[in-house]
Amino acid sequence: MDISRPAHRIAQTFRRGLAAVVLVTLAMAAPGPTLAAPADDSVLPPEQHTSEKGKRLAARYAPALHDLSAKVYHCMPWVEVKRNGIGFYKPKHLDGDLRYLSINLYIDQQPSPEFAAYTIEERASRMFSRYVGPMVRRMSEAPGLMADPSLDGFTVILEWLKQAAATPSGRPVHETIAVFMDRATAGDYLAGRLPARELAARARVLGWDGETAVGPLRLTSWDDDFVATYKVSNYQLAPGVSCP
Amino acid sequence: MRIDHWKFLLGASVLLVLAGCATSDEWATWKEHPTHFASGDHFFFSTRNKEGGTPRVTRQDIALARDQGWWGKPITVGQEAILER
Repeated sequence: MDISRPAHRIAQTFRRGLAAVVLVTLAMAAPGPTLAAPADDSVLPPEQHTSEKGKRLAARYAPALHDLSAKVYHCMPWVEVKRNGIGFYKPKHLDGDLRYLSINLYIDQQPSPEFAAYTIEERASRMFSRYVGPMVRRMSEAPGLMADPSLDGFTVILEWLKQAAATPSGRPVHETIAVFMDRATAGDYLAGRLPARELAARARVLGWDGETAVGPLRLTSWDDDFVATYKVSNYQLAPGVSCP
Repeated sequence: MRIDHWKFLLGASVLLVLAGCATSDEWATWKEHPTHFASGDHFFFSTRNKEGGTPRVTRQDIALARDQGWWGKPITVGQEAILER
């Protein structure tokens, strides 16, 4: 019985299979495409604002909003601007077409037992102090914005992981605060007339536990240099990008 | 001679199969972590950064990790509940 032909076929099939495995492995080990900029969907396009006032503001400051998105993307890599998270939105709880420059951020941090032991007001106060002042400062850097009479204020939405999923098939729960600040309050803060410790008292803060609204929160605030000093370990800044 | 080739190929195949098998301990570990790699990009990150070495984290790694929901879809409030366009 001549078994050389089947053996030859098996050996050929084996070689082809091995080649396929090697090719797939090499393809997966090759460097992926680099993202030099954040996804374009972080800024709400002007035409998707529902009033002429909102559209005008969004069109006028579009370059500055994209710069803001890029700065957050590269310089605060632990923070994500959510889809359509930047725009001249109208706060739902306010009457009239009041347009606040808004940013909606997810803060990527692991829940710690110490942080979880705080009350929601204490957790929110810490997140407020870390992020709200620095973000309002960055948002106000758009040339001419603070002098624009169409701007009514600022909204900073902060979301973070409250607890990880309890089971492998479960879902993690996020906490969210939305901070609303009229233009006068922001102007006083930026000009140094309003100290950081009084900022939370002058702002309106609403909270959510997962999808459930917990209503207005009374927070305390203070100066916090976390955003300026925190560095993600082993993080490599993209070529050509510099951060303050 | 031809039969020797056949035996060699069979032996090599058996060795290859045995080498690719997980031990019972390895299977137990895998079952405790059923979502080992959520995607090819997650696999790429994990293979590029070997245990014991200094990891290299790019902005792309971080963005992909979030986009692909490595840690699951969260329960959270939608922006439309807070703001109007």
